[in-house]
Amino acid sequence: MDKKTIEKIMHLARIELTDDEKQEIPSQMEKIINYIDNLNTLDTSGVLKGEAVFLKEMMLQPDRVETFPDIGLLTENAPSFSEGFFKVKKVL
Amino acid sequence: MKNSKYKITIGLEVHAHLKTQTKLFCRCPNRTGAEPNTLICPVCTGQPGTLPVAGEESVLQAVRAALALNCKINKYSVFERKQYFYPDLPKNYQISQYKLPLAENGYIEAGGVKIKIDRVHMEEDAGKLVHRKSETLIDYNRGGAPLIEIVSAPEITSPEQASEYLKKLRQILVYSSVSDCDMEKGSMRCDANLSLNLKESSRLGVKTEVKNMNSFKAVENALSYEARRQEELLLEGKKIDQETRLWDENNNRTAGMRSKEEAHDYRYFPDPDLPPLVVQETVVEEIRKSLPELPASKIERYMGEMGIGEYDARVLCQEKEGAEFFENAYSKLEDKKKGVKKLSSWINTELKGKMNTEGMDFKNIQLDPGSLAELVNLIQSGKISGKMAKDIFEIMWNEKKCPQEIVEKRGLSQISGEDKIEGLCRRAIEENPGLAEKYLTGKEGTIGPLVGFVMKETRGQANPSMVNKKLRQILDGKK
Repeated sequence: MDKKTIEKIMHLARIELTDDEKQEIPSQMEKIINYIDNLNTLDTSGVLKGEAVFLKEMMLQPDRVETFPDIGLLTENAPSFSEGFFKVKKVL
Repeated sequence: MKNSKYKITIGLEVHAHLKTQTKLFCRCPNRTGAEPNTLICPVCTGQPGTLPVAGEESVLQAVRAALALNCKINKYSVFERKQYFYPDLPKNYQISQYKLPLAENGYIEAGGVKIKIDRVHMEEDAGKLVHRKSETLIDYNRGGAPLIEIVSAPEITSPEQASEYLKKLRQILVYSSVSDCDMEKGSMRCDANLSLNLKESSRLGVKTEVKNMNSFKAVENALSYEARRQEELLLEGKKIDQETRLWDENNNRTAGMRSKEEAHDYRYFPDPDLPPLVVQETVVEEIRKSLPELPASKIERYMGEMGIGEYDARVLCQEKEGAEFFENAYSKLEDKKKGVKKLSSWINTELKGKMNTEGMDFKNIQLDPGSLAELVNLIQSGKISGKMAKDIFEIMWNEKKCPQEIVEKRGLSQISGEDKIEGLCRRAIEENPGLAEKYLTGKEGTIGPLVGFVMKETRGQANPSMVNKKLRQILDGKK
């Protein structure tokens, strides 16, 4: 895992890392990825594609509107919210 | 693209909004037109710790749509996370279906050809972005609204066929009452993949994806443009880039949007928050039984049972409400066999013409189908002429009265008594001796003005064919 990849992940996750941390992270991430690679050694030939870990089927909810009473809670933590809109730096 | 050495291959991905009360994974209202960000909750804004629960009605409507499109419903289907980073998506993934979609293997008949539908799956809509000069505004009201995506096989061979396919698809979804499918309002959206390959080759060429087409006409124009663009590049020996292109309606061209290589790894995986969706066979059968008669079968029935021509049958079935209007009126015809053609032409020309000029549709017209049937009955029985029927129709439309009442109140019924007609004809001849003489010397064309005289005298109420016959009879007797 190279420095560029780490920086990209940092950007996507919106986190800052010190130079020391940037040194440490690649080996840690590789350990995680290698651990997940263990899963590939399992024989899954008898498992249906898309089969989930749940043995239950999905519960469905009725088609009745329930409005959320406190929309302010959803907007007050947004980095920028005004004129009724969430705002981000321009993307186009 | 005529006489081209390339052939066109098109696949369409169509998104249609389902007509439910609530969004797909929460109970927020599923509607448009509200103030921005007033129809949102912790689930559809992707707050940490929230859990999605699928809405039953969305599932039922999706099954209904898939059945109407002749698909096989999968008993088990799985919701997956489609990852991408864009502000219209607060969770950074969209819940969609991938490996195991709700339904597969359907088809639509368009222009006499069966076009295969690979899959119909469910997914949530994203929010709406408003791009300003310095910032982007986000409205999550639409975020989480229930959609079905209908993916055709790459079997469409021309822009015209693509448009035909879309019209058929829209018609079926509207008939099944699962979606309004209004392209201009965004409740039906279409993305198209198009590639060219040499006619003698069976290997598909590199495709581009075209987005941002807001009408059937736009789809046709965009795809025609894109096919020409690709052809020119290929003829110059250049390569086609696999990319997404946006249709620019104002300038009639497509323009590259982003390169696919990086953008297209969505890293799908089953959403651990949602167990598999199970749709029982009994539910499928129940929905199958409740499906309305679809246009293809209606058209066949109109042609077979009622003896209507194919063109008229198709026009009658364009909209579900129109077909219902026709069937309702048909049931009230006195002589169904003789009246049906007149009825269908009255609906397809007079009524639809009137609706067009007044900007109405079958959902909001005030005219009762029974009244139109009555009008046709009056014409059929000879009580009124076709010309009078048009005047009566105007009054019916404006004053919402039934034709019988109008005829009685205004004394409009057609004069078709033998004696009365004869009297009128004799007077016409007496008052127009010049015309009558010309007729007797062989200029039979003068019968027209004589008929016209009688019609004018009776303000259109005489039966014109009877007048014509009677005039000839009298004049021929003088020869």
